[in-house]
Amino acid sequence: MTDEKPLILVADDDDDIRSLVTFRLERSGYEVVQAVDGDEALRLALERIPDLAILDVMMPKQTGYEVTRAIRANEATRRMPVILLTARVQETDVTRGFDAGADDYIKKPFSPQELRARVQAILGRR
Amino acid sequence: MAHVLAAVAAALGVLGVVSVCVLALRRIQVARADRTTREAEARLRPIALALVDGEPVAGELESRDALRVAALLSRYARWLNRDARRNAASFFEQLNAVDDAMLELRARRPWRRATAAFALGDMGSPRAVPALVASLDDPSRDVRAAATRSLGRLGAAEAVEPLVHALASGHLPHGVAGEALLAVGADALPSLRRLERESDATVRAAAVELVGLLGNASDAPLLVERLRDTSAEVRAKAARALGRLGAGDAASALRAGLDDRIPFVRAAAANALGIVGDEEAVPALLHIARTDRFEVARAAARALARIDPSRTRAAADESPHLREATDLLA
Repeated sequence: MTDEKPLILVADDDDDIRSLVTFRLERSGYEVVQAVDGDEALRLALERIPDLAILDVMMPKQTGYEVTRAIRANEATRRMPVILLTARVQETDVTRGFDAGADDYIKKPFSPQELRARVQAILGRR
Repeated sequence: MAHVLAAVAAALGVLGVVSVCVLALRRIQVARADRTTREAEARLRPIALALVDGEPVAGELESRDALRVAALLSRYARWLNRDARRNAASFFEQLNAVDDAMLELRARRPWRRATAAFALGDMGSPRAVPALVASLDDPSRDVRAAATRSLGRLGAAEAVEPLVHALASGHLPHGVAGEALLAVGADALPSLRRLERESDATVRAAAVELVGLLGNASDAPLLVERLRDTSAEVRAKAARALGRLGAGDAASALRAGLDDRIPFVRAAAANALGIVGDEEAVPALLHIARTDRFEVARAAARALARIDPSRTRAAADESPHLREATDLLA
């Protein structure tokens, strides 16, 4: 990792969730780029190539699953870690997330501190 | 006459212009208030976010700003788990806002009591729970509803028994009380399991329904007991709860429910057997689908279609309900 701050993509259609996640990550020393729907998330993922993406599952235009699959299908982004942020916590939803290529998932309601810990753990593994 | 009409027309014209002006002024006023709120939120958002993270807030907030921070925290609280909400509660306790709101619960005017009860839920301090439980007996329905919603927000397990009693007595709006009890979540289960044996049948029915929504497989034996309850409402709710929990072990008790003398209990038992997929129930369900009254026969046919689609298709011509269930399979 360079001296530059790691860049994290946060995609969620809810302003409050984006605020909560962004605030915690920025306070923890990350740079954050935000998207409000699946299309914007994928565009930013391909343009900015963030170090990690945190994606809501139920987003307008493209779901988190679809964006994850598209990220995995692109040579430039296929190794990008993806965390799914989801209110859907049934086992099938979690399995579907991992099948799409997600590295981890966090269920809502969540703790910003736990989110930061997961991000650190994933980025630390790289 | 013409003069009179002209005067009336002029008066109406003036009245129209005045009304338009009043509406325009009101619109400007509302837009200004919205802008002020948005600006204040933008200014206070970092404070609210810092509070969520447990960071101290420098300086003191004036009371209007404290309320705005409370509103922001209340929005954030939907997405935060209880640990993160606790940080916000300490802030309000230090500000004395919790004590002030608890005092307001004794105000003379109902709207002030209701506002205080509502705000206490957003502040997230468990210290407010006893005062909010006391407000469940408030003479004003609005205050009781606000207290109920706040007890749910606080996840107050100690409020479950009074909430269920108030719900059963019709003292609380059903939707608000149900939502609050569901918000308490699995912590409500010990109280709900006790209430399943309460002497009041409406309390038992409410408890059984909630156990079906919040419980797990370990609740099946108690719910099976309730299938033999003296109240048909409780028996039907117990059957539905067992279906929701997918309690396969309760299948034989549910099959006995198909012989209940009350039709809606039989329908609930049939529906639950369909969900748990009890193949032993197929002959009885087939018989009911052919012979019982409308609602029961329909429930039995649909349950049969879930358990044994090929048998349902084969019997499709034997009753309109079996035909309908077959069509739904397609």
